[in-house]
Amino acid sequence: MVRAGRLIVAIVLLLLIVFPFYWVISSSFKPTNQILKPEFFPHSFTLEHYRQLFAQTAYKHNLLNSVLVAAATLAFSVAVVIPASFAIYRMKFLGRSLVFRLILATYIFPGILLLVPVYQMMSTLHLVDSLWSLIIINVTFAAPFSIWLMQGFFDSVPKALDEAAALDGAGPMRTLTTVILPLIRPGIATIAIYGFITSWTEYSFASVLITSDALRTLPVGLKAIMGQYTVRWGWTTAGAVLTLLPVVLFFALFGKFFVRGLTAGAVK
Amino acid sequence: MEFAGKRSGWSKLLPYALVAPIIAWILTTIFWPLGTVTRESFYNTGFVGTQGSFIGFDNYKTVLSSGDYWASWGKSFYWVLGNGFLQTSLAFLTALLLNRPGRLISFFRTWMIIPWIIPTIVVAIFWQWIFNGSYGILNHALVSIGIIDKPINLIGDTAWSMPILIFINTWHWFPFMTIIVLAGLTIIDREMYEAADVDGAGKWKQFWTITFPSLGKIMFALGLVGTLWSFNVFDLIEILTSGGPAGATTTVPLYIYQIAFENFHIGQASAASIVTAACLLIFVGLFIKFGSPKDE
Repeated sequence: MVRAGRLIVAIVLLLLIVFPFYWVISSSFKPTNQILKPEFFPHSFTLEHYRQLFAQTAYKHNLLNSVLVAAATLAFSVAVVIPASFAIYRMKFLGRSLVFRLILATYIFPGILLLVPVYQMMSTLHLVDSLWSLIIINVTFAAPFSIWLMQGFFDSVPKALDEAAALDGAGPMRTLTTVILPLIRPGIATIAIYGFITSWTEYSFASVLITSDALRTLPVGLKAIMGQYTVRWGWTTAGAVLTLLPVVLFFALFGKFFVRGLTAGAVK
Repeated sequence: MEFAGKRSGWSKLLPYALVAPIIAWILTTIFWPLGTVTRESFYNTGFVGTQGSFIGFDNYKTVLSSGDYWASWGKSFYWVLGNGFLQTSLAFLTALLLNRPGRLISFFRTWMIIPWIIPTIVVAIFWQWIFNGSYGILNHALVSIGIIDKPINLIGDTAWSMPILIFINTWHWFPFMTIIVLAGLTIIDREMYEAADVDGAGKWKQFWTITFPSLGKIMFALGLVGTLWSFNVFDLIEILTSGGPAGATTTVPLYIYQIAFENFHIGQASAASIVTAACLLIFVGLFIKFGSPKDE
């Protein structure tokens, strides 16, 4: 009885998660004259929408911009998070807890309240309508959470290893690069994915800070395709599939570490 | 030993050098804008890029006496409470189902987070396609089984848009909450359940006497961070309804955005941001004061 109930709940939850994926993916392969018909199993298959999306819309440029911004966000975020985490979780220094709190406060700060002043700041710096503005702000949103995630990974490396390295005459930086970093590779992968995904999915700032069509990232470009051609569900669904594909691929490779990293960070 | 052995000048400065980049980054991208927004709240600046003149507290008077601003707070309450309730319930349900060993379970534990990691624009397209008022599959299904006679545009309906948007946002966010609850469940001592079994306590009673109280710390963190994050949601609402129909989904972030980028009153938008931040700060203070879990 309890078992049957549990099974039903599980199936409902599974359908809730899976159905939207199935429905949009299958729609994107239906020919234009059939896409609006609610047929659960498509009986013909076409790549027409994908071909048109590349040929007739700004999709290619949007994709390139998104890749550039996400890659740079990932790189910068890892580059600032690793040294900072090393200092915060492994060293004693005056102001350590202040630094930690400042970073945590950033992480819960309602970023949307900064939409207006960040636009003004980027305008002062002449960075409005430049991909750099997005990279800068995405790192701000990705880094604090990444530092929080790193706690579990740093804690998993016994401090005795640091001591052994110090006895061998290794300085702190050598210990970080030769002892700790190789042991926390899954942690580095986790924050790298987080940086990539944060940037790949960001919409609000990208919609305000980028003003020219040529520099739009995918989410904003997709919104434009969707708004201009409300009837072109073929393009919209195909665009959605291509936009979620890289995230899913990335996740298929590193998802296990990512979920493990989230879990390890959360119980602290 | 934590690296503090050598007392040379360089090794003392090293930790500061290591945290300097992120601190600089945060100061530039959060504190500089915070300074700007505070200053602008006292100026009658209109368009971005123009410079208004100092007008004292006029923007604050306008905002505090604006019915629309407080109406947006009403929508935000609805939004935050609706999301909080729905996400917590779904997260607990999913976490309890997945809190057992097994290959298949561990596969689901990884992949069920997928709605959280996909872009909001994709989430919006998913559900707009399903809920579409003319040819969406949901309307088709409801009409064919006779629940409704003709399709309804749920997202564009004044009464339905808010609950539907809460549902969509919940679908986007509950997987993340599930992971956090699962993390909390793994640290509960199995022996407590065994002892409760021996005492003859039912599963329902075990949930309320063991599981729920043990998650105190995590529920506290989720309550705090989750509330702020939900409050913060802008993109999903902007993409699906832009705050409409007739302001039905204009939460505080949408209101501020419209004042700044559609009505071009940067000064007023800045004052509204400051008032909002102050309200959130009070919420955080009260939540920490009255909601902190007691250490046994």
